[in-house]
Amino acid sequence: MGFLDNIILGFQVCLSPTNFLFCLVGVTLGTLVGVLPGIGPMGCIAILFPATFKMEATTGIIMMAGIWYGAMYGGSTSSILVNIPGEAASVVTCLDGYQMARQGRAGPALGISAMGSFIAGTLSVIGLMVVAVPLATVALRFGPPEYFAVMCAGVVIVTYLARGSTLKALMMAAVGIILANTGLDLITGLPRFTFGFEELTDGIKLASVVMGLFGISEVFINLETTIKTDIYKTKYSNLWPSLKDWANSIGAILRGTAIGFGLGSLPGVGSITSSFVSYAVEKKVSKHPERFGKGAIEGVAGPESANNAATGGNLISLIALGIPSNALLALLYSSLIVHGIQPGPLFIKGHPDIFWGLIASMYLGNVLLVVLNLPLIAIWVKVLKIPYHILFPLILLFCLIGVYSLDGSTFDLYIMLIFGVLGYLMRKFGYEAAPLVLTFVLTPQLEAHLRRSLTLSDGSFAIFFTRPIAAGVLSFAFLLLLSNFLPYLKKGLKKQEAFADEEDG
Amino acid sequence: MRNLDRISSLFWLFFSIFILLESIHVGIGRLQKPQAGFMAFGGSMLLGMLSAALFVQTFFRKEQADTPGFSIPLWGRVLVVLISLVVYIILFEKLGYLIDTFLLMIFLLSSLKELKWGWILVSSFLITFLSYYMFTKGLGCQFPYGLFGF
Repeated sequence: MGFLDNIILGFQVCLSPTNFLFCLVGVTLGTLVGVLPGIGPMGCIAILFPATFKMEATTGIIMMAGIWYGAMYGGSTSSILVNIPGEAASVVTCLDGYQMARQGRAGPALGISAMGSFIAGTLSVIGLMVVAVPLATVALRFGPPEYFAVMCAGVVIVTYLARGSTLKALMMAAVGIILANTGLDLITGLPRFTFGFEELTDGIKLASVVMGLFGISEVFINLETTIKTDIYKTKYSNLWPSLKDWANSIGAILRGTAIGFGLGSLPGVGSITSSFVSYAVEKKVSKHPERFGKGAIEGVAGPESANNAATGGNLISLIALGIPSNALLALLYSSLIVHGIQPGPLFIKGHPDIFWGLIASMYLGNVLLVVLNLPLIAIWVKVLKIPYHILFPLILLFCLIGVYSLDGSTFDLYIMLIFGVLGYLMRKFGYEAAPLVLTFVLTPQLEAHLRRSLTLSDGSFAIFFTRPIAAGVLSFAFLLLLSNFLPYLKKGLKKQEAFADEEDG
Repeated sequence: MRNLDRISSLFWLFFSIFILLESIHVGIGRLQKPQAGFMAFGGSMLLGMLSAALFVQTFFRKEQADTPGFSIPLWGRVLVVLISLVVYIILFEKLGYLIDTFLLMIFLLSSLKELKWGWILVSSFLITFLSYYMFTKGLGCQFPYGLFGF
């Protein structure tokens, strides 16, 4: 099939009444959770994750992707109007977006953010189409050692980019590996780490883990703080940016798109990093960097474009290599696995309807989001006013129903609560949940590839260093990891030198 | 943060030792033929070493100023909500979805802020029935009926 045939197939799939409806549901929910502080796209996808098991694989993935990029659109609304980012990738939008609102320019800020998101989202989908197919062809040459190496590199990049300590992020990655070992052994079929609980024979369910770590713990954290949503009273009727605004923003939008897509395609780099890098670049290239932080429209257009473009880039490693590069994609990955579909090099050829349906739905979703976000802005402003004491019981209820609906087991609900408490304590103690979820999802494959590689090499780890791709990728991961600990090593050496000098003296 | 790191690193260290022993019990096999406990053994070794490194690091690191902590009065809110969720799960199959969820919603809606009772009752009723309808009819989920048969 040619490129055009594939696109037509994609639109046929996504324009079917059910898929269209769930695309709309996805982008609407995405905008909603993007707008609302206190629940992000991860929490929302986690809550709806079990519901996707009862849908067709294509419908489920279209809805989940819709929530994801919809949240990127919605996040900017609360950043601009309330100075509270609805989701983490919109943090940087607060800097200039809120200042624009204070100057009575909330309309153009919201407008350029939606239009920038639309342009970036659309261009990144084109990039995804262009890059994913050839990359999948290359990945067909991968064997178990190469897959093991790429997965290890993905985990290392996620821990490298962790907001807090790399050491703690690595610890969480190890915890994810341990937790994923619960249940039947993949190769021998023997139960392990079930501690006498029959319910653990199938392993710890991903839904219980993610809803606990992201849904329940998020509520617990928010219960400790009072989220105030004082909306800055300003006009947001004139949403279309002026020609001058466009002239100032178009470069930022295109640069933001390139940055978002480029960085997003690297495993582990997501929308948050892309938006920050875009902001820094805009400030650097601007002739008037002093305007940044005081209401520069480029400071809104660049990061908002970057965080949307990153979604397309992020999908590359999932679709072409079968490796989710962040916790959110891990859910998309698991949703496909549940339906018996393995993302990876054979995915595009084996399931063209899902791949091209997803691509077309992203085009469609971007159009729907502009319609939802610009003319209906007044509704989202009202949504922003929903107080948290009304919102949190609903979030908790959806978490409970979501997990129970999987197997009708109250045991899974207890597991979810345990992870809720663990997630809450992890945040208090400065640990990130994303590396844990990523390794939890990847471990079955990681283990299978490691064991297969060792069996192939008769127990020699040299197999990872004699094959060029595996050796290259693992060396890169090792150097990356080392670069994180380099400052500590340097400090240690300096101290030793100073100590030696003192002794000599 | 230093004290919190010391506590958490010790927790993960003991956890890793426990898993390490358990994985040996399950069987780690040989490199030529890894067994069921192989991966968990590797994971627990890694966790153990990293936790020990974090523990040691706390003795050489300067304390940072911006350390998050536990605010006792608000931490109480978390505990109350957690207990209510545990009670909800315990009673879930005994009382059935409708009654149990209705009671949970009343409790949660009234837990953070004083609201009018009429509003709380109507909202709880609507949330319970709409969620029940959406999940049973829309998504085909099955919920327990409980003692009263509904």
